[in-house]
Amino acid sequence: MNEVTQILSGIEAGDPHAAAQLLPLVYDELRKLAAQKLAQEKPGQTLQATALVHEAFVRLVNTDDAPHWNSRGHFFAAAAEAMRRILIEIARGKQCLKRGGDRQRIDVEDPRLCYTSEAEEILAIDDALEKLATEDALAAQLVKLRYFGGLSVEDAAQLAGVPRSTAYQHWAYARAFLRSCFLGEDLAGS
Amino acid sequence: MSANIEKAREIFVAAVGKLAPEEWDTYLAEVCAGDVELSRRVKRLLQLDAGAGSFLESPAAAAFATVDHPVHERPGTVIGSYKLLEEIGEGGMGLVFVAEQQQPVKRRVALKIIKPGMDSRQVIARFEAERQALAMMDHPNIAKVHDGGATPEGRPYFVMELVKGTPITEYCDRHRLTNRQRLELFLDVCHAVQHAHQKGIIHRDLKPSNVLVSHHDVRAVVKVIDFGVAKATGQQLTDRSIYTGFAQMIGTPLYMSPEQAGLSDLDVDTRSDVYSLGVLLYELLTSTTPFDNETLKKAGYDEMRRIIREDEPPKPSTRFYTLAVRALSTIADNRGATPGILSTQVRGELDWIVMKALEKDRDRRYESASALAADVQRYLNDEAVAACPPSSAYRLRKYVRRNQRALVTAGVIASALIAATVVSTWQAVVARDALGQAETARKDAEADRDRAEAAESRAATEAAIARAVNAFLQEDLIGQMAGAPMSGREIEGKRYVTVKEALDRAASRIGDRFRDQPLVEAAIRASVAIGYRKLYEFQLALPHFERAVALRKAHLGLDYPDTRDIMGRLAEDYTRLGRHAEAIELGQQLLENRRAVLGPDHRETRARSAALASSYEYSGHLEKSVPLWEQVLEQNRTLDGETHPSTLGVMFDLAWNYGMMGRLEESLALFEKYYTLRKGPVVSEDGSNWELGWFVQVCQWAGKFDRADRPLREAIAKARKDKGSVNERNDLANHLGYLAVNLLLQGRYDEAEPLAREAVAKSQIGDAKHYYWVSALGAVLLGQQKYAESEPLLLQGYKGMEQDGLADHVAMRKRMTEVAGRIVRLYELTNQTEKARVWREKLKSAPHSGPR
Repeated sequence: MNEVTQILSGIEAGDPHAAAQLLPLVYDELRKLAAQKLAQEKPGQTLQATALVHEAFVRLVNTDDAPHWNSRGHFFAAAAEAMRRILIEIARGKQCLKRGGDRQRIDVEDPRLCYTSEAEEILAIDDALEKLATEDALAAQLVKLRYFGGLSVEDAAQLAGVPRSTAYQHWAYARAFLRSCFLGEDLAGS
Repeated sequence: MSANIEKAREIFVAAVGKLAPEEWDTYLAEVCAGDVELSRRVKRLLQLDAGAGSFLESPAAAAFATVDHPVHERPGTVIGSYKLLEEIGEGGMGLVFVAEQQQPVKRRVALKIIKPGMDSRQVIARFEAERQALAMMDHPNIAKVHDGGATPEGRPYFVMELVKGTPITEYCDRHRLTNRQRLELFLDVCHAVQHAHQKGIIHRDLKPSNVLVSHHDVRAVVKVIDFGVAKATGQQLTDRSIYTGFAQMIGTPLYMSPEQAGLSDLDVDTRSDVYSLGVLLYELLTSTTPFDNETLKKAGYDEMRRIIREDEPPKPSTRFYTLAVRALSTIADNRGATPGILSTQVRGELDWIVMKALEKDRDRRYESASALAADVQRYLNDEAVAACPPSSAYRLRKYVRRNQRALVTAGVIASALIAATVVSTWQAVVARDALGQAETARKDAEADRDRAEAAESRAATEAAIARAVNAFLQEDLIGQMAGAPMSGREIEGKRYVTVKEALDRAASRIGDRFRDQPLVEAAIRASVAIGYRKLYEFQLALPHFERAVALRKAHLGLDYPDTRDIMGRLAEDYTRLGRHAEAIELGQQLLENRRAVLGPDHRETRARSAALASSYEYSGHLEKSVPLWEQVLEQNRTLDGETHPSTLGVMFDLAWNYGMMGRLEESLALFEKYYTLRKGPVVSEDGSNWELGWFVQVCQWAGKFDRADRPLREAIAKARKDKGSVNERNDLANHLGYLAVNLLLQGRYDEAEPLAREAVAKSQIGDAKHYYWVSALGAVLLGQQKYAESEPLLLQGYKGMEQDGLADHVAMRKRMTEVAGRIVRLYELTNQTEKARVWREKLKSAPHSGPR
């Protein structure tokens, strides 16, 4: 069994430490994949979350050892979170090491920095998501899985452990809520 | 209120998807039981859901969903001290109103505001940056920015001088201005644009409707409006319809430079405005534009761009021949002239001036708006103009060049990008450098004729190198690519190649074909290496950098600035890759050379010393970095003054180095001095307060937790408030983490815990700091005796730091030692003696002892 499959089995078996180990691994793999993709695409190209997450799954999880749906679910939950962080990072732009005085600057211009509406959308959604989470945690979780993790609403429902119909209801709420944020409306009517 | 939100959500969730819109009211009346507010809210949610379309349906990075954004501002709305009167324009992102200012003076102004729904953080930041830039301009021919602010919902707006004027072309025709009068007005336009360029602002959308003329007394006054708006609102020039003075909608490629008509916005500089000025001048003289409006309109998007990039427009004097007789007589009439002399008036010098401004290759245009103005002024003064008619040889060259260009634009966008930016930048720098040196040397010619000749011959050599490099990248490489099979992507039948692919190909083709032209090879290798570096491919860049350095060192020597420049870059990359010995070796060579040639006090010598000190620091050799920092600090202090940025920068570095060495008293004293001398807010130009961490870390090593506490809490409060700053999240995570550590070290675990958790959540995985915060959280839990939770965090934190590229840094080692100590303690407390022993061994063999 490879490392990720092992961790997934660990989570299945109820090992409390396993979950904490999963995110960094998935994150690393996704970041590697994202960097590769970005290098191959023409400048200004964006990443498709769904494709990346599925590719990472195929590469990291040994399907012969066939973790059943629940553990796949854990993988996709971690991947959604990792993907969210990666997209935010890319959208936010470069990160520098230390700078100062006349010393060497150990930073370079990042040509991948995107100023596209996609970047803006991602940041805006992430922002609004925090607000949504305080009102409807399930809705926020669904958005994360669907928007950042590329899962279908049905799969997200299974992962969140709620009936499909409930998921659709809360998904609708999330969309209405986020639209209201984007439209600059204050539903709370302060 | 929040109970109401909760209730609205419940009602919505229960109803969504089950009711038709016409059933809403009945249902809501029933369940909301007369609560009007609640009913309104649920109904709004239902409306939002019904109209959501494909919103959010495609995962991140798919296209922005189209959402109808209702406009909130309308005539009558009051924003700050402005009352909106009439909407006069709408762009992709913004709206423009005529507004009446009430306070402190009553006047009419133009107010531009971001549309609701378009106000994402980045747009707001860009809008604000642009407003500040515009506010810096102060020129009688530029519309002023009076004020700026934000609406209660936080959408920024800015207030500009309201210009009531006529587009310059219309004004000239209406007042039948002669060519001379037209040229004089045009000079004012050039000067206004030049003023903006000096402030670093490019207009990007110069056209008659943005150059308005109004009467002041008897004088005609030009006002250029809409500076930088194209950039501030991030719109594409091609699909934009922009407002003008009053309610005029124009979207036009007619004034667009070839580089703007290209695919990327990257390449636009002040010379794009010079091109647009050329079109404006063309139109002032002929009443037509270089390209026919109808032709462009009919051409379709790609064809239109091709025309702008490739087709040569007729000279103004020739353009008259293509016009109908009736049009000619109107044109002549508008200038107080006869049709017969129109062409003669502009033939020759005015033709040349216009065509020079309209050059496809911007290197051949006037280098600035003021250079264009100067030539027009020379024409008006009857002096010889700088522009000159193209020779037949030139035309031939131009033909060849145009065909090469067509080849490039046909498919190999990315390679064109390299060829155009990397090489021409390099070429320009080298050429300038060499010419400058030739000039200087010529001045000393009496004293040293040989040197002048050497410099001149070098200028010639360099020009030859530049040509060879261009030939390789443009003809050979790109020509090869056009025919070669590639893995590039095919989009709409055209092949595109990535930058990486182009670089790989260039790299593989260098081989030993330049055996006899070492400097050409060095230039190409340097271009390739810099390209890789921009893609973060440091490993791939390295061999090319190394080879370029070796070649330049051997054939030009260290006295040549390009040799040193590229050595400096190589040293940086060695450090980045953890190859410290090589970084230091290069740094020493550079420093020794500069010291010998320029003396110890020269600015470059001092900068090289600082760079070397930095390499020592990253390699962990503080005993070597500290004396060097001390020496540079003393020099900078004497030569630049105590408050000079170079002095302060080094002071900070030295203070930090003292701290890492354990010379805590000295370190803190120097930090205090730094903060005293450095007045104003302690943030870097990008708004980050990254410095604070270093200072705080030393405070903690010195046990001065109180000293660290206040600035951290202040910084956290500020970062929390600064939603929208690029560094907000990063800064916030760091400040939170350091404060958590500060409390942890005082045994205040319960206070530290939430802070540490937030720092972990907010920091970026993969960053060394993130792992430090993970370990800090582990330490807090250890303090709370939650051993099972603590263990994986401490281990994960340690491992993360160990694997970081900067693991040799002394501060990093100290942190690792700290964490290892805690791991030992954890295993001791939980009686896991074997594990405790292993970690104790690890601790002993660590190169540095504990933090205190």
